[in-house]
Amino acid sequence: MILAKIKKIVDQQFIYEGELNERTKVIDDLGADSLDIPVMVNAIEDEFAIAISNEELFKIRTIGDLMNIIQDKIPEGMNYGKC
Amino acid sequence: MGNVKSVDRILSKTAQILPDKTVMYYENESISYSQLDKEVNNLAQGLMDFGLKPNEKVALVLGNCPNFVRMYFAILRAAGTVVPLNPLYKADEIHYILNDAKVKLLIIDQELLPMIREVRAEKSDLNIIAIGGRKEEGIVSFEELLKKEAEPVDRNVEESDLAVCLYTSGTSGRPKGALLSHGNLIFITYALITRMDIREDDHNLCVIPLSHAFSQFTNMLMPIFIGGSFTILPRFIPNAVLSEIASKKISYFCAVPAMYSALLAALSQEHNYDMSSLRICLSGGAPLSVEIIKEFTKRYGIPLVEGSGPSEAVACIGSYQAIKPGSVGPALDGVNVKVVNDHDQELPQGEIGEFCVQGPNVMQGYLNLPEATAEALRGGWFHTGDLAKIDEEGYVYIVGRKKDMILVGGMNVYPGEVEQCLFNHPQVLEAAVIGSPDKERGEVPKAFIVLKRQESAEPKEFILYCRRHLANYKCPRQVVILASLPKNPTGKIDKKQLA
Repeated sequence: MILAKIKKIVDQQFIYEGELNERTKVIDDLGADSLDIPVMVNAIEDEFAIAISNEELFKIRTIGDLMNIIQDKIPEGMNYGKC
Repeated sequence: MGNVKSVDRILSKTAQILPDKTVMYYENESISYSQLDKEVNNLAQGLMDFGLKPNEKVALVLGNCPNFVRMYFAILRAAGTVVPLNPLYKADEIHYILNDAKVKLLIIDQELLPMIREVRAEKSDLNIIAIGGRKEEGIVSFEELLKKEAEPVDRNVEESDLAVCLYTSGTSGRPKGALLSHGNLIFITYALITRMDIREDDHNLCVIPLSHAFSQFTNMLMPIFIGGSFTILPRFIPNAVLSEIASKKISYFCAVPAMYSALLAALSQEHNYDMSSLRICLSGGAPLSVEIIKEFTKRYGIPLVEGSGPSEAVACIGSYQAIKPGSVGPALDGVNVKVVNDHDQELPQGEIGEFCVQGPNVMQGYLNLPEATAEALRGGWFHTGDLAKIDEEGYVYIVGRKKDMILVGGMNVYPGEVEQCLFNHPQVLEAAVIGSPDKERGEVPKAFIVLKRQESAEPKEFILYCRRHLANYKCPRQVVILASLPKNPTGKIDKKQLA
């Protein structure tokens, strides 16, 4: 579920090859530059109603990293499930 | 420090005067001048043990981190020449530069090793030092070099010796290596310090990639030369920048226009960052809109000055005491500037022509390109390719480009390089790349393609193809497939009709 929601956002912003999955690299595979990442993260914060810190932003390399951050932040009882 | 002939010796001098002062901060790390100088020495000895000879070129493929600074100075102390490469480059681009510069030693972030697997297979004489801690067959660990205690390295370096080889995108489709000596770097850095009135108590935030000449001068060399300090951020995240400015009490900040635009947008949200420590901001790499300057100055009362610095010859910078919006400022002290017509005749004040620069700031030439060097430096002046005018007070206004170039968020992209990449695609018959306006980045590449007969393809395929061979910022964001491209009477593609 988390991945499906991320995919919806990513598809609006990026052109990429193959299927989006946990191993998809944000810079190498999505072609993101430093101005794209904050835009994507803002959309994700709105979608999941969470706040991602600057420290966490610097650590995002893959879609899997992003999924882990979201998973840790979504309120208990709102288990989206990673897929 | 006027008698110091090499850049790394200036670090040693600063370390003697201010041994305990912190020179740089990164995440939870803080490094003093004496520690940096000692580490640079250990690494320089390590490079020499590794066989580095004076004047040999060493490629540095690292993102923004203290190890970039350590290795940059270590290469210089070992009398080598630094070839800083953008870590966003793809394997093809890195491979070309390693061959062009005859690089035998590459220093790279371990995370980027998979990307250069093919390069390693083809260049059996390439030695690699990887930063990242893990041990790997055939790769030397940076961390082990750093730990080795060494006697003071004392290789003789003269001002005329080459310090850096800065690769810039080339009109012909391949990057060119601009060669700058220690004398060039020392002159430019001190001239910038004087013009910007940078002081020992200044603390700057380094967010532009250190692989870029603008960042090396403003974020690394300036503070080290004056005994200041800096905080390094690995990449640009608007809220992180604002948070660091507030918490670290940043006093000067250098960025490209796209970053100022993003910062203003971030500041217009609910956040309330304390920016009162900032006393000067500098913009470079691309034209800064007068609206951004006005908005920034109105909101914060902080002077935002503009500079013009092609890698080949950093020439101008505004003085924050006397800013003229739209101008990149007067020439640095000791630098001559003029504008010329197509016959290289100097034009009077206010007239638009090609901007030319002369002085100790001008590069030594392009690596392996004697004809391009002679062309660029004809008549003893560096011809920048910028179109400019100069007012009665000597302020320079860049108004356009003579050469076909796209500025993507402060990074130069020559359409010829992107077109060359597209021509290599088996389905492409013709290709033309232009700059398309972009709110955040100023411009982005847009490609127009004609397919070979009976071929069919989706525009997306060409974007992905470019991304496999070129750094992301060079790749078209939009591709339009046409039946034919507009041509002028001589048969040349008429890009004006595509705009």
